[in-house]
Formats: sequence, structure tokens, C-alpha cells
Amino acid sequence: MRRTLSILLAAGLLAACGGDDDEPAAGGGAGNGAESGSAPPAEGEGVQVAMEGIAYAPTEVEVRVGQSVTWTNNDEVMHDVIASGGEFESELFGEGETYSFTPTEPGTIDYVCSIHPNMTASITVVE
Amino acid sequence: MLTWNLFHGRAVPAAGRPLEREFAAALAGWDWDVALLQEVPSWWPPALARACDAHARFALTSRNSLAPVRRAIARRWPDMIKSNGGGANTILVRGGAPVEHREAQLRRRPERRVVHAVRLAGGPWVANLHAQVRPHSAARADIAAAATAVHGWRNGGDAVLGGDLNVPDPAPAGFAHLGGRGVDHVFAVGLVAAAPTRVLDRGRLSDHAPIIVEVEPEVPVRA
Repeated sequence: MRRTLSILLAAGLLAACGGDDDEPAAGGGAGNGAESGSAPPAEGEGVQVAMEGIAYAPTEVEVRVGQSVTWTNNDEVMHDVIASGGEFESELFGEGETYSFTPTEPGTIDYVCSIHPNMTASITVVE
Repeated sequence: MLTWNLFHGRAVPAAGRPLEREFAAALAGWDWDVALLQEVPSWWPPALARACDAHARFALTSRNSLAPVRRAIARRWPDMIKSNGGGANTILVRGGAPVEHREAQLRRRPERRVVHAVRLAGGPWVANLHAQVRPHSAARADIAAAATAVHGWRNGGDAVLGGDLNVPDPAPAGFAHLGGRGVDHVFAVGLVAAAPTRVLDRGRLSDHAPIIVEVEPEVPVRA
């Protein structure tokens, strides 16, 4: 019993020390890339996309030119968003962190997570 | 040639228990000659080698201080301690034992990162890299430093450089891209891909899919 308690205490200490190689401490809230911002857009201004269960949700969104899209990673593993046409490319980001992009012209943008290539989605940008 | 990030021996979603046997069984069941493994719990390489009838050479990465304590916790609660159980990069070689193993430290902060490589008996050098996760500039710096190290080791001979390079478009100088998926890639000098990259079904093990890249000499040897 005492040994188990000691291990539990040590586990708590070690788990609290620093992040993970590919899983930084949750709650950082920092976006990545030039288009990013740590704060979510104000209500009504942008579209939210969740990253959950190794998938984007929703997988298709429609926004206006100038309207932001913000991805929030709700998984314990890292993800990123890489546009196939080069419109945006985030760094990998961890649980609780966000990344935002604001399109400047209409069209369709397909994107993918580089670690999980089956994780795909698209944005339709309208005038 | 197989490359796989083992996610510190964990599954997605979390299994809530150690998965050493499952990872070993998966690796043992696939057809490969050399396996480049990243984020391997630091005490796993000998067991993986036994399971796969292979030789293991590994390089410690980060969070390996107080190893016995970390190991004891990770064996009980791998999903709680995550990478804090201590990590290593590992090269498994089936057939003859590697004749040489070298390692170069690429960075100490924010995480210790290394490139390590084996020289196969009568064959090329094969190097394994897990680059810094972010920013991309740091990953690219690790890739460049690893490429420089491997070029020094190979001394004009053939070489493979693969692993989890943590950028979708890595470009190590002097190496040709043989295959990859996402951030997991295989490059080589003096060798070419013999078939398209294959992605293996690993079920829920790890958050990375293992890939197989078949390589052969750039100039086929004539009988």
C-alpha cells in the first residue's frame, strides 16, 4: 500500500513536469503561424472547427471572405492543418490550443493533418 | 525499411494498460529488414528485438533521469505518465547484426534530440531521426544537422535517413526522397525506392501509422 502510494505521488510529480515530446501541456491556447491568434474570434465573426477523435468536425464549412476559421485541438495527440494549395500551414499544436486562418479570396480549400493523413476536410469560401 | 513512431507505447484512444506485447506482436508480424522506431519506451528495445528476431540499437532521447521510477510508473499507468516514462529511438535489424552504431546529439532544448545510425554488414548506413516537433524551423534544423552527421558517417557510401521528421515536406540535403506519409519519411543516397510506400494497419496502436518503403541499389547489380 505504501509502495503504491509512493509511486502514485512520483507519477503525479513526473507527469506535471513539462509536456510531452509530441503533446505539449494542455491549455496553451497559442495559435501557430502568421494567420493565427490565441483568442477565438468573437461570436458571429468566425467558424469553429474541432479536432476530435483524429478527425475534423465538421469536415466541411462555408465562410465568407474575411471570416476566420479557428481550429481547436480537443485530442490528446497533436494535430496541424495543412492546406493542399498552400493557403495556410500551421505548426503542430496540442490539446487545448488553437489555430486560425482568414481567407482573402473565394474558392475551395482542402486541408489535412500531416501526422494523420486520413484526417481531411475542406473550407468553401464565398464572397 | 519500416518507420514507425510508437507514441511511447500507447494507443488512441488510450488503452489504459501497457501495450508492450501488442506493439511487439505487430512489429514481429510485418515483413521488414530494418525498422526505424521513434518514441520507444526506453526499456523496450531488447524485448522488441527478441520478439522480432532482430538486433536492436537504440539512442536515449529525453526524460530518462530517475529511469527506474519513471519505468515503474509507466508500466502501470502509461497513459498518465505519457512521454515522461522516458524515451528512446531504436533501430531493429533482422539478419546479420549491425557492424557499427553511431549517435549524434542534435539539441538539448527543449527536448534532447538525436540522430543515430547503424552500418549494416556489407551494406549501407541506416539512420533514424525524430526531429523537434515545433516550430518547423527547429525540425528543419534537426533534419539538416542529421543529414550532415549521416553524410560524415557514410564517407561516400550509400545511406538511408528516415523517421518522424515532424514537417510534411522535409528535404535533407544530399538525400533523395524514397517515400513517406504525413511527417514520416524515408530518404536515401545511392538507393532508390523499389515500390510505392505502403501504410500498415496497426489498429489503435500509436497515433502514427507505420510505413514500409522498399529500397534497392540505385544501379542494379548484374549477375
